[in-house]
Amino acid sequence: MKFSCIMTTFNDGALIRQSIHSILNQTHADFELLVIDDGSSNDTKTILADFDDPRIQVIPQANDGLSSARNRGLHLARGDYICFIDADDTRAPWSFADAARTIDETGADLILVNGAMIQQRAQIQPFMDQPTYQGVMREKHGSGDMPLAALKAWAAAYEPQSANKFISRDIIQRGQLRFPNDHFFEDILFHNMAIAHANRIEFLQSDSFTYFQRQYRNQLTGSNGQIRFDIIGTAGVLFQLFEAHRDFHNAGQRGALTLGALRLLRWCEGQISHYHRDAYRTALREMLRSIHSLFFVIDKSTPDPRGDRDDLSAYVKQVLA
Amino acid sequence: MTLLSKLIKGAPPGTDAQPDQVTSSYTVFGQMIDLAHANDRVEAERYLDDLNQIYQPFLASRVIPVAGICLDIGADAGWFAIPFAAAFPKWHVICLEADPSAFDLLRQNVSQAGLDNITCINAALHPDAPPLDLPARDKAGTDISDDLLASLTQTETAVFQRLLSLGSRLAPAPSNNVPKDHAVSRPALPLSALRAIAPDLIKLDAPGCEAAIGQALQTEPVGFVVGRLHANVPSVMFTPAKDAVPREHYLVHGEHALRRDYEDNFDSRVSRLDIVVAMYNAKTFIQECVDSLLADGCPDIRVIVVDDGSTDGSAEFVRDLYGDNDRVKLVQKANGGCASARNFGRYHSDVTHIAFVDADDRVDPDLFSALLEAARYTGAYVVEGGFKTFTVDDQGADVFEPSYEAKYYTQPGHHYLGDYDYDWVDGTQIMIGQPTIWRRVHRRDFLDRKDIWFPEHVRAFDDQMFQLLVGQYATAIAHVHGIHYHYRQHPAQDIKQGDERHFYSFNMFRNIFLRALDEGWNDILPTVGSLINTMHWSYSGLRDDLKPVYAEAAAEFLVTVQKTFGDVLDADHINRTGIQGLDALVQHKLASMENTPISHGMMRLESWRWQPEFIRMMQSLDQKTHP
Repeated sequence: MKFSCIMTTFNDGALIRQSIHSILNQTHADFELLVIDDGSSNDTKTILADFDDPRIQVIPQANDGLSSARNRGLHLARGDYICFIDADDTRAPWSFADAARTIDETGADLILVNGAMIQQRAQIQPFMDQPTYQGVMREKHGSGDMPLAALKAWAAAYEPQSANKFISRDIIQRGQLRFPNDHFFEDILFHNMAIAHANRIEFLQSDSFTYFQRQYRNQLTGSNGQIRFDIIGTAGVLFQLFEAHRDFHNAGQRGALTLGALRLLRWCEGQISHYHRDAYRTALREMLRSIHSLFFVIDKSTPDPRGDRDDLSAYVKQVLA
Repeated sequence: MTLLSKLIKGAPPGTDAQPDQVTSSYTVFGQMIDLAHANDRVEAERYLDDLNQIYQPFLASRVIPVAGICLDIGADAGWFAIPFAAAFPKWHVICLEADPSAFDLLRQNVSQAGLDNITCINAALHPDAPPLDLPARDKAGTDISDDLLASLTQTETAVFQRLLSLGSRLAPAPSNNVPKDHAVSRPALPLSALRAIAPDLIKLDAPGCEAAIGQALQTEPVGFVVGRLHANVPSVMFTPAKDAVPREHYLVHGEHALRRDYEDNFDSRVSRLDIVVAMYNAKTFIQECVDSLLADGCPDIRVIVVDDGSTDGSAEFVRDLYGDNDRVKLVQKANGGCASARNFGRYHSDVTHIAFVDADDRVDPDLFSALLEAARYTGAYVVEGGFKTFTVDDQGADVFEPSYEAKYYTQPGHHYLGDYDYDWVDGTQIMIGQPTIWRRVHRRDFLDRKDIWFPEHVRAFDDQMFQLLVGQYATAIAHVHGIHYHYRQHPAQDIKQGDERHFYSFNMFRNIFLRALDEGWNDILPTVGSLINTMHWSYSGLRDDLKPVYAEAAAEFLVTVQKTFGDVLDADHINRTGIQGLDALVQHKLASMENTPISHGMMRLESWRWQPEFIRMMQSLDQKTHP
């Protein structure tokens, strides 16, 4: 069982050392690590050059964006399963082994995993997917075997984030999956289309990665800059593509997808610079007007682990008004 | 503009005879100077103009050390040397002047000014002067040892010639080939004197000897060279050797100048041209290509072949062919497309100018040396040559076709540079044309500063975005006539496939429009014009099954542009695309957006039809997932 771990970096500097070591020290030995250097300055390049390990491939590109770098990784990956890690995060030592065991046992082509989250305060928190994991486990115990449609709905309720899943390369090829070039908030498109193409999904309990909220460093998603606009484009294309997939008629999955997208859309509107709020709202309204109205029908079967369905439904009405 | 007050004191009133010498008063480098000089009004004006237009602005804009040795080559009566020595009291100025009467005036002026930091030597540099036994200067100080001085003044004579209308200036002449009445014998120093003196700054006014002096300086640690060139000298003569001390120079010739400033990366970027050849499975053509690039023999031009993960042995082939040629560098990378290969080559380049050539094409032998020359002497961000297309017929003979633009360039250019002539072309003109980036030389600092790269996720036509941005920012481009790039035509070429990759245009234009918004471009119409031309060209070559998707994509895009910028589209634009039914599609979409205000946010919209990756994702749904 060979894994391809795709790591992208742009000026992560010394932080990337830990991240790379967390992959090299995996207890499961069969993997390749693709580090796509998206035009970093010399600091980071020097650190990368220090690693001398046949399992690492460093691929430089001119600064062309996170999605482009991830896509380059997807183009070059040769593993049976693919996972991602950002250059400032780490994977748990058993991460690949845990996934490999599950794949052997179940033949799953998509595996969603838990993670740890290190924030400002002392205690290490579970990553945001914890309530979702608990929700899907409760439903599993209640009903025994869950149908794929229900599993997909829960998977869609997972945080659209790149570290929380292993995807078979077969899914990537079947679905021609790529990240949206020139857009941030890229994960929501990839996440949901991977789910749409999955045939068997498993959810793992163990923490498989750690998400670090860095205090002294601006993270991409933490700025008020114009990249906030990108969610409008990414979500727009996701709605367009998903509408053409037969899973569009899986109400729970469609609803969970909509909630995930609306949550991000609302969050970005709240974060973008005030100078751009009008323009943001204009574009968002136009995008929402152009998609299928069934996306706004979020029925009771939709997983709602965060309990924000009503808030988000109200938000969409306000935008469209 | 009166930095210099010019006052030529002529003969006293009432005397008829023309005096041999007159005195001028002028101000330069913050010094008021009275200078006695030959009574030649034209020459005096010329010296004053050079001070005003060359030497003063150069010295004003440099960080000149407090102390050093200045060598004034062609000092005449001390026009430059006297104010320089006065303005920089800790410098030592060595003046070379071979003409006896000018030399007398020079000495007279030095003593009149009371300057003790000037040494006058009655000699000129001559490439054929017999070698002298010259001790090298102690570079730690600014002292000239008595030994060195003694050697420099023990000169023998060599043959020089007077030059028409250049006053007292003398040019070195080959001893056997000078008309008798022009030839004069004067004390001469060999070029090795430059090494012995080891100056920190050179003022150059040496007609006929410029190239030889430049060449002699290539390995010398001279920090500043400033002067006038009296003839067109190949710029390569003034390129310091690769590991030489960085040098700032300013050499003016007519409307042109060679200038090297202290700027970002000055230390790490030598003044040369790198030609990046992106190569992917091009074994058949690569030798023809690289050989044509090397044919000019110009040592300032180097070829970087980027092997983009070829599988046909191209890389080994190139290594075998050029392994020991220090003008060819081979770098290898994992396959990632033409854009990534071009950027990769740029990362491996450490020089001031860069060009990007296709591995299956070739050039006139002098194309790039002429372009580099134009780039250096004009300082233009971008210079270009012409191009022609060619095919190879059954007998193996080349069949050339002129390019579409040949008909615009039938007259000689309005500007001359050595053997070539050129014209200035407005940057926006290249925005609307087809991408022809391979016949251009770009200044690297320009590309870096404007952040112009090949978009690596774009797997075809990535050069269009590059060209568009170059056109937008370059202001004027020097188009050099009579030299050509040879653009090979063959059926396998990207542009003839008519596949999904044509949809990259939407992605690229979306990025460009976002950039225009961000940077406040004042005129968006050239970009719109380019978009329309691209749509026309893409649609006409597109596979039939993709045409309806393209029409829809185009309508979505045009409406977005219209709603972003306001009134930029008209019926003529839509007709020119040649896309069937586009007017109806656009009309329909605009009607549904009647209440949507004009807003820059609109350009943030995205469509699955605007990126080939999205289209492939959509196609995978159609084929495999639908029941």
